Amino acid sequence: MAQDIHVTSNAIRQLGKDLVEDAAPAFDPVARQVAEAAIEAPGFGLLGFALQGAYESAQGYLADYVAAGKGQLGTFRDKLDGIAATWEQAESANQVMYR
Amino acid sequence: MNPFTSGVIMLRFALGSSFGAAPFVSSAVRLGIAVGLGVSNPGSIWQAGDEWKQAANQLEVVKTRIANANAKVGPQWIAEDKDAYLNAVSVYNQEVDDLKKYLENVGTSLQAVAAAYYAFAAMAIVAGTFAFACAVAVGLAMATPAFPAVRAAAEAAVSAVAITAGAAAKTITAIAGGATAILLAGVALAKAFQSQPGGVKGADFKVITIDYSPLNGGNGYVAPRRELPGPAK
Repeated sequence: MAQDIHVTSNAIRQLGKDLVEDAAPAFDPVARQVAEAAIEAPGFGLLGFALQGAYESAQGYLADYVAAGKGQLGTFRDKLDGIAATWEQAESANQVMYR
Repeated sequence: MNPFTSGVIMLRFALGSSFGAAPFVSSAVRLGIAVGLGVSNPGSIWQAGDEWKQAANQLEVVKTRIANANAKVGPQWIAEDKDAYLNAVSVYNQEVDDLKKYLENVGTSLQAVAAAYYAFAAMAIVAGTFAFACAVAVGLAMATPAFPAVRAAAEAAVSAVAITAGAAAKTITAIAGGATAILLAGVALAKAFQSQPGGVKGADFKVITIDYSPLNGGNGYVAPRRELPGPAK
């Protein structure tokens, strides 16, 4: 049985745009809050000094991770643009030409 | 007034007059614990925990906006490569959920650690102030007939300062628990960040991809052969 196919390449491109322009910025407050979650001196105290380093490294990892989450939506957009282009190419290739 | 009553009155006076005085700690070890743990910033630790929890809640916004974008495209894209896209989004959302849990766990651990510091500080101040008050009372009573009673009362009372050691032990246990949680979470995150597909934690943000390779890298629809039909028979 043939699969139902309906594709509007503009809609696919718009989806990619929405991911980057609407969803991705929602990571910004997360990144900001993680950066602001610094523990000021004397922090964990002299006996908890080692904990300060562990905390800061976890904070650093998290900043990278959040940035990766945001960046991945850009990668999705690029892929979606590629898919849209492929559909446009297929449509163009299948146009009936009269000579 | 018997010596014991006057001793207790002096003790109370000393307690009142020394309220707010710097904690007096009699031994170097106790001083070390008090300084090591007491000189901390539990308010900042608590606030940091709160920030992590708020960041966790914010991640729901990311998922909602992705869902809205997907709903918008709706029936304008019905094809196998859309399924591949939705699979990728599903893995992505799972990753966002994991991140959310991580943020919540670290936030909760930080606040547990902060609470332990608060408890210790309160206990240390009370015990330290009390010990100081007792010392003052003994000093005041030294030249009076109440001295033996005051000293006995003070010695009994100061032994209660041993609670500080117990409080310190509890604080250290709580801090160790919180620290372990934070360290393990940090290690887990580091592993996840470096993981490959099928690795320790499976996919992370950087390896999630829209995989429509079963469609031969495209959408599977190729151009027809452009040949003129043969002559009619």
